Amino acid sequence: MNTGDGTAQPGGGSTSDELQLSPLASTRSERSPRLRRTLAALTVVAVVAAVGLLVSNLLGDAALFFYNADEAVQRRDELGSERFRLQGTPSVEPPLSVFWQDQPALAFTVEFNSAEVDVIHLSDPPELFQPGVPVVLEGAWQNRSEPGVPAAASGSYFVSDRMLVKHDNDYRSRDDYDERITEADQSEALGVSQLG
Amino acid sequence: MNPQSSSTTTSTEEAAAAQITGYLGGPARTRTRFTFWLGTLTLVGFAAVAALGLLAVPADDVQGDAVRIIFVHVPSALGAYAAFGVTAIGSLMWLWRRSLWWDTAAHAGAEVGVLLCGLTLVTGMLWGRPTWGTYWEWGDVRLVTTLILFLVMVGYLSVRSLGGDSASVATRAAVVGLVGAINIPIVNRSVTWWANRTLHQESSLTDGKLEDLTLFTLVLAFVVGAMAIYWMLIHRFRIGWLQRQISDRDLSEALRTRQAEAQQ
Repeated sequence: MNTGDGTAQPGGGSTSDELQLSPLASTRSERSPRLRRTLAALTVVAVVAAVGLLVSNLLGDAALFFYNADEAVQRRDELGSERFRLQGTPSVEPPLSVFWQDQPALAFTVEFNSAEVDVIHLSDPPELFQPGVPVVLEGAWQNRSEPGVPAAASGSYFVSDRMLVKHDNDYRSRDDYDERITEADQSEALGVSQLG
Repeated sequence: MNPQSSSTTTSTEEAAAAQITGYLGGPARTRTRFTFWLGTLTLVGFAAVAALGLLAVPADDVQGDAVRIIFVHVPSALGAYAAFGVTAIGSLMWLWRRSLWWDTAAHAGAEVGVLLCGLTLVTGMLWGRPTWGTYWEWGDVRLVTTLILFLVMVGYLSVRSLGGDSASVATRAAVVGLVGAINIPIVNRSVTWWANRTLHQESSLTDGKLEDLTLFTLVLAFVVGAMAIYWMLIHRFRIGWLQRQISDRDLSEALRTRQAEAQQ
């Protein structure tokens, strides 16, 4: 069955008594070894380049993915009007719909480690945006004010145009949540303080 | 070579199977009674996880039904670490002991790991869109290190296909496998080490943040996932072992043929 491919004719060589160990062509059909090698080498180069790009992206652009609200307040002067990401938890008051430079916006406060930041947000928030669920906002500090917008406690607003919800690792079922609300309502009806 | 394998009455597949049987001197299959029952039990387990995860576990009060993806995402991620761990151990054993058995195991681990790591990335993105508000965030340490782990292990598989003798293929791949494995603890601990650099939450499991039925279903998903990974590793290892034997037979056959030709 396996008789070679014609290039290795029996008795074709002058050293017919010696043992010939030179490799024969493979009987299985496949691309030429040179092409296969080149393709694989190119793949490896592409993967290495992609990894290098990702690492430089990771270490360069995102030297810090976000500042917590307290760090952003501390670095207020240093940050100036530079764009950065800010992380904080929206306070319990519902956001106000306002206009900022004639654009519809949401005004709310985020807090972290007892520091509060007044936020003006200029795009649609993610569906899960709600008081008590931390968010990461992209934007910059601004000192200006607008009529109709509540005065910023610190004198500066963080004006953002992109919001991501930073879900924490606490999972609670909806049933359990409803139960807790019912319990709280009942306690309130009985005059028990929830604020302890 | 077995001359009966070229019977004109058999189909191509049957001829291929007969050829492998001829090469190996016995039936070339990867199934045993153990793997059959392991596979069957795994399928039953997956059905139980799906029923519990989709129907019995309550929705999360913030994420809603998106929470259910945890039963695929987290076991896939841990499974990828485990499979790449097999690659790391196998690579080390090849470099240390020149063990072809371990090199074959390392290859099997990398293929299964790439599958699971890909699944982790895809399920993470599907969860991220409704929860965070984005499929992907460049600069997020957990996301990007996971992608790097995936790409390095794809690179491992590419290196294996570079060609050459089996020893140099194994050595080159082992170096890539070990470099890739360095990333495993970095990916796993990134949410703790760089809390300010990732949207990704810390582990809910180790922090005891899961309620009873969710926790039970997740643990069941880990057990069933581990069974599935073991099943895949066994089969992929056996396929690799058979491939190795066929390739060795090819070489011996070629030597014998050439020797016979030279003596004519």
